[in-house]
Amino acid sequence: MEPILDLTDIRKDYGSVRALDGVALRINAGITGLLGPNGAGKTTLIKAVLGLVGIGSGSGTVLGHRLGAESRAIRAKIGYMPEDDCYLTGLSGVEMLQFAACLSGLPRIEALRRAHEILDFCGVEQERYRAVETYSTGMRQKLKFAQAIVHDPPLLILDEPTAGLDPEEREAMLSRVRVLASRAGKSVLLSTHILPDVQTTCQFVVIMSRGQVRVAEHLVALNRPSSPTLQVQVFGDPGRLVEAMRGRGLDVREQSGDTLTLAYVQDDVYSMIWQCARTCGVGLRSIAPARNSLEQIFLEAVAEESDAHS
Amino acid sequence: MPIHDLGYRAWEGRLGSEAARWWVISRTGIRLAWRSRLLRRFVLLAWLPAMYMGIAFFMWEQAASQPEMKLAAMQFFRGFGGQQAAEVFSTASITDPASGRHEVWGWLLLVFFRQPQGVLMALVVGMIAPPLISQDIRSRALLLYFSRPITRWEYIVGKFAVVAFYVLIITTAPALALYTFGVLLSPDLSVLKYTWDFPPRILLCSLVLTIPTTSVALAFSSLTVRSYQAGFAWFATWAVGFITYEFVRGASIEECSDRWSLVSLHHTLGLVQSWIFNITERSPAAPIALALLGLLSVVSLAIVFQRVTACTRQ
Repeated sequence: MEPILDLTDIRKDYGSVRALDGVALRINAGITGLLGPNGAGKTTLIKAVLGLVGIGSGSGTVLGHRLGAESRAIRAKIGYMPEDDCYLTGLSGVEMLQFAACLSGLPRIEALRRAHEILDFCGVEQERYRAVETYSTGMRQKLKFAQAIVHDPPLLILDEPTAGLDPEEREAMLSRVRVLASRAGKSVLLSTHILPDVQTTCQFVVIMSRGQVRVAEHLVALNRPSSPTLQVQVFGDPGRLVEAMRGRGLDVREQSGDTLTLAYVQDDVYSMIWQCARTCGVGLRSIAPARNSLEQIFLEAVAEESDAHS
Repeated sequence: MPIHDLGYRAWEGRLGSEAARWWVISRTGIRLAWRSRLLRRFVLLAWLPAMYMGIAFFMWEQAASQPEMKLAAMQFFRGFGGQQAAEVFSTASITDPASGRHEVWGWLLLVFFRQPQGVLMALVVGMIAPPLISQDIRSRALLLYFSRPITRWEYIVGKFAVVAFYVLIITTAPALALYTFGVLLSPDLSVLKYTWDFPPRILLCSLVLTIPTTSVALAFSSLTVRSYQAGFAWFATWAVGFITYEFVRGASIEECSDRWSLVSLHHTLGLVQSWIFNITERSPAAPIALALLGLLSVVSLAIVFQRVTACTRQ
């Protein structure tokens, strides 16, 4: 399968500041989360992909088109939702969407029909007839999202799509992203600081720091610990249970509050845990395979980079 | 199939031509500007001088065909444009309407471009152009434009066409209407043989008027995020240049007056327009004025391009 984004050794300098430092990245279809601290180079990478900023060196393709040389063709196939609060003054919501569709080449009447259809999909009701300057932050987020999909592009680049949304709207927005990916076959590059959004929505994660790609991996693979591990949650004090487990040869690696982490080596480990719990009179809340948290992965990726530079 | 499906549907239509994308920007800009009641009134007002000029065309044609009307026409022209108008009228050969007509029509069209439309054009451009780019920069709309398949030049051409459209509506269209009116008043259509050059001269004059003024106005708009500042800069440019030139002329520095007219955009345009209509002997400053207007346009558009590029990269 041809990747939607294939970049090799992309460098971009702003004066003496290196914004992108040898970015090499290959992204396949699906939803990809783009993570990184402020100044990591996420927005510069997005702008480079769109051809809004030139690259110093490197090469790549976006949806089969050459980066830099075929920017127009690339932009025709991308729906971009900027992070900034941007709108077209003087237009109503539906007019702005119609205008955006026309800019992408849709005929005028068709663009109007499509604008209404997309506003329905995005949950914008009668406010669509109001001037966009009067919209709340949440409404503008929806409008920005709507203009990104109005021309039905195969690739969506969403920069902080849930910023400024209340929890209900945030969930609705992520749900729309998932629907677009699963039912309409869109590929999505989701740049965000909100890790739970990535955890619940993305299949692939890219973590950038200081202009470099630190991690690019499937989320499932990232979540999986390097060796099989179990997490056991107990009611009350787990001290006696830890002693009992160690007495039976189980490798309890970590104890954090009411949660124990133990290496998973024997096949009968579950029955041994239950027996220990019964012996000690400790109630078990849950036993589950341990997962690396995205937050931990993110912090480790960024910390590694900081260590390397210190 | 549901009557109203709120889900997402793919779009499978044929896209329009890439070459016409700038027109989307122009069309929307023209429509947005037209929502201003004040602008609508100005555009209507801009046609009133053309109606008044129509009377001048009528008087000339009456005097050319009926010698007894000559005195009345002379009085009208004196009242219309002072001694200069009366001189043009009297020197134009009434006995040879063909050459006289060319001279008088040319003079009337030049006056039309220079005086009422020159002022109205400055006002209308001052109303339309300042928000065109400054608002896009302020509301960060440039990202919305350039994340789509359009280039920076297409954006600039689109914005340029908004202003140019209104300038043409208030100058070229009434001037062409005046010419048509003159042809209709003339004894027969053979007059076309002697006056065919006026429509191209009108178009050329309109271009000379539109390109530098629109470019300068857009450059001011791109340099700020506040429309009123761009508007102030536009009117200040006109007013300061005009007042400076009038002051110098009033101080009777005769030999310098042509050169000094280059400080005033209004008078610089006037030099070139006079040249185009071939009314007076060509001023030595006219080619310099044309070069200056060209340079002004290029520099202004370069500023716009630079600003748009910088704002997109931020």
